[in-house]
Amino acid sequence: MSQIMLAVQGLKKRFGSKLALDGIDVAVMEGEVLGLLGPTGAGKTTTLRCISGLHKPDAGKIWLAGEEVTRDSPMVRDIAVVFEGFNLLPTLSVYDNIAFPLRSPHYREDETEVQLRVMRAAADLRIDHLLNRRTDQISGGEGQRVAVARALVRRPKLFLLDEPLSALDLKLREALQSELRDMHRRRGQTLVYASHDFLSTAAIASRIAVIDMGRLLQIGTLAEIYADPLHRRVGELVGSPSMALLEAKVRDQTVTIDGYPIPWRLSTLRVAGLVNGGSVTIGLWPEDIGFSTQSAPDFASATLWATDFRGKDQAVEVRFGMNRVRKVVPTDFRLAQGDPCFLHLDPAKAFVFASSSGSRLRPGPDRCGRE
Amino acid sequence: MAKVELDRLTVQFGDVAAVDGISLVLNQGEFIVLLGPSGCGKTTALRSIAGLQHASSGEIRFDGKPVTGLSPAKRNVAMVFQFVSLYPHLTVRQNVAFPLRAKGVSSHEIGKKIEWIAKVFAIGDILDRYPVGLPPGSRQKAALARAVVRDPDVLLLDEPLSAVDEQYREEMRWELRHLQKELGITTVHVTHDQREAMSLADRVVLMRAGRIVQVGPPAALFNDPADRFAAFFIGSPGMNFIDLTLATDGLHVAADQTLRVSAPNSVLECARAAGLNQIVLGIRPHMVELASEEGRGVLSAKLLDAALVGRDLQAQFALAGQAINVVLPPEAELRDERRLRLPPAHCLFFAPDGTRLGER
Repeated sequence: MSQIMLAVQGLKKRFGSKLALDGIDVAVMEGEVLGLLGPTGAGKTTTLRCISGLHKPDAGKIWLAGEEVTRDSPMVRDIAVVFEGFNLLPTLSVYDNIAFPLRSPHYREDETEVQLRVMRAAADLRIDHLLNRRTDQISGGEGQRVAVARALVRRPKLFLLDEPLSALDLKLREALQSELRDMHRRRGQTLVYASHDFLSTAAIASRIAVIDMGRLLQIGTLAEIYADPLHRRVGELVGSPSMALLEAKVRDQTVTIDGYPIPWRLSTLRVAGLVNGGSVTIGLWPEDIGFSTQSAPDFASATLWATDFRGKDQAVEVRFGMNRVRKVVPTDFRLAQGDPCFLHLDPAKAFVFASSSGSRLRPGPDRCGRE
Repeated sequence: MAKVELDRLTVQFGDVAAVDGISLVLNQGEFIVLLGPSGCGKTTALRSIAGLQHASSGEIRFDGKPVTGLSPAKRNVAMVFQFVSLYPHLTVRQNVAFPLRAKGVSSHEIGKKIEWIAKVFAIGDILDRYPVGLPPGSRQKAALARAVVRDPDVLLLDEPLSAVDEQYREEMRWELRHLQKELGITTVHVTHDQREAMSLADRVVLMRAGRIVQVGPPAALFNDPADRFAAFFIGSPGMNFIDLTLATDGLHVAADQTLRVSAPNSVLECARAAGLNQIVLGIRPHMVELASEEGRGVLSAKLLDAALVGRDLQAQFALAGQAINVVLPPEAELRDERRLRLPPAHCLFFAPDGTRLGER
């Protein structure tokens, strides 16, 4: 039976004049991998440090496996943490580094058990050949694996991984990513994985919590987020390429996207109560944007601003007016910067956001677009 | 803007050749990316072009003229580093003007240049701000503007995007690509990030252990890698490598004779001539197909794991105990047991030592 392993309610934290966390609510189910996605400075690390007990929150509560731990010291919370700068103990061997948490006064295990667990964690992370080395004799990528292994040996209730891979080069990051997933599949731990990188978060997380400026903007599976993005920042942070966010004006029952010559009838948008003369932001996922190299009905002509070859496909950026869209297209389109192209923007696929706050505007009498 | 030639360039650190006799011609206006893992010699090669690193042997020429012995100041090169080094006490405008003032360009001329560069880089709105407090992307753009404002022969970029957030990195990749084409300046960019290399380069130079593994347009490296290392290093998620056994009656997946694989005759002949009985098949994850029924070239596999990543379904299968990653459209239907097809046109073959087998 799956239970709630971690619950966080109304978490607030202030550093001097900066409000780092402004009321974070999250629940993580047992065995789940929650991705905490946000830019640098969003509050990801502060959230993890509050959960692990390294920071005292100014307000809010934290439960671990049903027990409130808000005031408990980090030593007694059954949580393992891997931070970006992995803090290995330089004077000890790899083996002793991994064994360290098992020999701490709180979790003392006998040495045969220690050996068993160290060997197993080392095998999982493919560092068993390094156990006798000193930590200053191994590479950065190996050091990161040692840090993960050290967190793993203890079988805690919860793992917190804070940008654990961002310091590694791409190939190592991909390898470790799939090892983490592999390990999760075999051991089924509960994991919170914080990162600014959408692709690595999407590759490992079953649900994603999007966080920005100390606030949780949305939490859900990727499919849920794609179907119903709650804030323009969610669109900016999710997807590769991310959502096209277009500035538009509302006038005389039409919505005109700056630089796009085909106006939309207001009635075609899934939103009510937009004010004449106001402005809104239109969000379109790249997959929902029509792109062609030949003119077609309902397509507007534009110019390719830049192209981005990605191996199995390529992305293009098209700019018009003060707007731009990015889209993935097949590699058999032969395209170069400055080439003409044609775009179709479909109001039925559009999400409408308030220009000032960035919140989603919805149909219905209450949530109208007055600003 | 110059044509740059490296002619058997070698840089020796003690016993180790960090750069081991590489020859390369950079055409005028070309965007070249030096790509490789840490320690492959890419940064040393870049520093040699800049004049920051003394060449042990070989020659570097700009437009045919040797510059190998010249100090950095005497070469008309501009370099941008990983960490932006704008002068904090100067505005963006003063920062950009700095190299022009140092050269004694007239104020009138500087004004015109700055107007031009501000337009190209779209930094008009931050010209009078100080670097502190600007977002990293804007700072990086200002640093680039300062580097190119004095018309260098070559622009050298030393992992300029690696210290910034993924989101800015993607923004800057787009900007850099667009600006380089607008300016038409010969550019050498160093990175370990293959996505960045593919995205930016006219030609990628893949390096390993001081040597060049392969040079070519991004699509050529992706579709036609020179060896297993190139195949491994380029592409994300990475290429699958499957161990095969070469028996007298043909190829099969190692440890399971029922999983038969076909290969072009040229590959088989090549492998037999070398006396190999083990070879490796390489296939990119998005090229593997699900097959609905039995048939030639259809292999049965066990589903291990599947997850939606972005708008792809990424699945992992076991093929006689070997893991194989597959990228599928999100609507693909997965069952525990599946039949996979490896389309022959997308299979590459390698010898155990990593060399490519068959015709390229």
